[in-house]
Amino acid sequence: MKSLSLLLAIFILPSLASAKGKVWQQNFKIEFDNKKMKHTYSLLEKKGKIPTYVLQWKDKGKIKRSQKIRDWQASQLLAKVRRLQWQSLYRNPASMDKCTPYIKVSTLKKVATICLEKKRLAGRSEALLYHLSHYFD
Amino acid sequence: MRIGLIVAISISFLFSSSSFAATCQLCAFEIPDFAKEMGSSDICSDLFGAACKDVKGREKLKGQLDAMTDEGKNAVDQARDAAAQKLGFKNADEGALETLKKAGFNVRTDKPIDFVKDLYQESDPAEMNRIFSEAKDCSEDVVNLGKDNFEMTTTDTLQLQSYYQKADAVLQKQREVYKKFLAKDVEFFFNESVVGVCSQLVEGGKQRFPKEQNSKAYEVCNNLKKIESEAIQLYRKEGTPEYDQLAKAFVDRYHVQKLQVAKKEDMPANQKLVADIEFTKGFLGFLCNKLNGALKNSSQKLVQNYYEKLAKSKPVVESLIDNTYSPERHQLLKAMATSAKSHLKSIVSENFKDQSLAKKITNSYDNVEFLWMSKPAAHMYKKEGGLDVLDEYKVPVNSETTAFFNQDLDYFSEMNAVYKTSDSVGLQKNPNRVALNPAMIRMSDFNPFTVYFVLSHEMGHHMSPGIASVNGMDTRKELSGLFKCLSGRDSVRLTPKQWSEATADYFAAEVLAKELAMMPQEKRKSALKASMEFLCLANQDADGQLHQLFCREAHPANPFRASGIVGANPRLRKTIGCDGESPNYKGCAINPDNKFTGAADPKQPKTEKPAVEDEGAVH
Repeated sequence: MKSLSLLLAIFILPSLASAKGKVWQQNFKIEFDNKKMKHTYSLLEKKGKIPTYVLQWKDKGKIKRSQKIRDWQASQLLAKVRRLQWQSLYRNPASMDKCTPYIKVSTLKKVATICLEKKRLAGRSEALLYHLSHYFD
Repeated sequence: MRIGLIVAISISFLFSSSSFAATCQLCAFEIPDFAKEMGSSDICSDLFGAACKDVKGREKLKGQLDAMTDEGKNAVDQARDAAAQKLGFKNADEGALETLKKAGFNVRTDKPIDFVKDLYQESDPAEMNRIFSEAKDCSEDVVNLGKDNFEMTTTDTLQLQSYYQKADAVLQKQREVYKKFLAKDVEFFFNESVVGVCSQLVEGGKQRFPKEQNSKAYEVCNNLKKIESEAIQLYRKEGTPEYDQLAKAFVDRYHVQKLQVAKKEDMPANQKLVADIEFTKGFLGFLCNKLNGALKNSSQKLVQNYYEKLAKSKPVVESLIDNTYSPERHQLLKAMATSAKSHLKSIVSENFKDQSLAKKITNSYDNVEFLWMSKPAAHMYKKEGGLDVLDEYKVPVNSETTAFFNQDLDYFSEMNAVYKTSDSVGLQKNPNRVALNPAMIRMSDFNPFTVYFVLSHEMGHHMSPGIASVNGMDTRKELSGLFKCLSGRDSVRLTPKQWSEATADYFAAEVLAKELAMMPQEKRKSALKASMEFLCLANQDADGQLHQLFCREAHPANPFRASGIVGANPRLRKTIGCDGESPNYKGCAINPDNKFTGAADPKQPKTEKPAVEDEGAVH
């Protein structure tokens, strides 16, 4: 049980902490930061008997809009984000000479930086950003 | 020495001003019908109402933005169909359908277009019943189990056992189906299923989920890190011949069927059976939901890969470029971009108080390019599954060609334009550049006036404080009076976040003042109304079709932009023949005292004749 707790802490503790305190837990965060803008999209979850999900859009750290979404929307969005993240983290070439950051994708315990040089991923990221932005139309 | 210096400066102005001379780009074009019609307001008091609304106050161009973006979407669809045909499919959607069937999905819809759209968007998992036989079977099993004429209060143990076995068999059957689709995506399986179960285990604790009854779950969760490493290794094998078998074994090994809750020891046997039956029935419904999620995820992943491949394929790339980037349009728009730049240089020279900054800006405009997409060279393609596709490592970074790596090809249907600052990626250097999206380029066929306005707006961004600073120029002091004026309650109440866009609108208005001054007087008002078409279209864009992904709220509202910044511009008003200031908005300008009356201005070279002064000369 000792090792269980230790290992699970890496994966699950953030969600446990939020479950106890009924505070918002961040399931994913996508940061787009160029010379002009700094936009962040986050999926937040409030645990409970019926969990609540909110997709939040921030501009330069300030909340611009928050959109309540359904559990299946949250789950499908999270799956899309993780797919992008795994693709970036585990299918990149061993080394890249240069990385011009396009977006940064964070889930509970992992952070992936998508580089413009990886055009396939950058294209996927762009599609995802468009998709997320339409939640705030 | 002093005289020599003055002479040198004058020569420099002389040369620079002569290089700013622009010929009329818009004179030859017909005014679009909507701009000839009466509007809801007089152009001199409310440009937006005059251009965008009819006499009854209704939007003149209602629905037209959708039609224009649909034209782009149709071009995308046709290009995809051509690529799918190369792969032997009837069209792109049928190709998606066949791809899924080949991968083992039982597709039951006969409407491929709806089906693909459903799969790409987030959708209620219950919708999967309509699309996949597996989802429908599962929900039917739930219904059938509920239909059985069975009394939970029965004391007949054999009957209870028989019923439990039946329910459990159904559950086992559906669990195998679920596992089949989990194995199609180990990343999803690990994050959704394995980590999901372990989260429940930790949250419930061993009191709720005793170790004896949940030995596999505890074993899996104790080895989470190791399982994750295994999942990653397996994930890297995706697409290889051995993947399917390995993935199935992986899911079999680590899939935890369900967490068993502690049972009350003193519960009579029949009551335990009843509890088990209830749990199994409930769990089947839960499993069907999970199955729907797995179907959605794994099918979406396949569809995404398929459409990504089509998007970057040679038939799509060449078809979309041919569709828009014709030599005739290139010639027209390049000339317009040059004209707008030329006017902007004059405007800066004539109005900036800091003439050394003005010179720096006018010189730097030579490095702002008008971007035009051309077909990628043959060496940028590689073979992939029967198609020539763009090689991501050979296409230049930050070129417009990267738009082909977005499976939705959004760039080709959106009505937009951009200014991009110079950047350097590896050995590749990109200059400052202005680009029009294909939908905007096509718009030049029927309304070059509004495309000219948009081009001037983008070119004007070169002087927006943020962009100028990236280019080593500080325009804040020169523009501070303009921003202060536009921020007032008698103007458009500009916020600091809107400075950049307001700068671009302001300079576009100044460019129009110069360009329209070269047109016959009687044509100028309708030409100005025509140039507002983009703002009319974008204003009625209630459902967000206009792409403002990274710049929402950075633009003032369109009536403010049209009537408050453009329509109230003093020099433009004078050009089109409006008397005095706008009754609704204060006239804001840089160097507002520069009235261009033709009186000798010691700051201006005598050879420079402001366009407004040229009105008479044109006729």
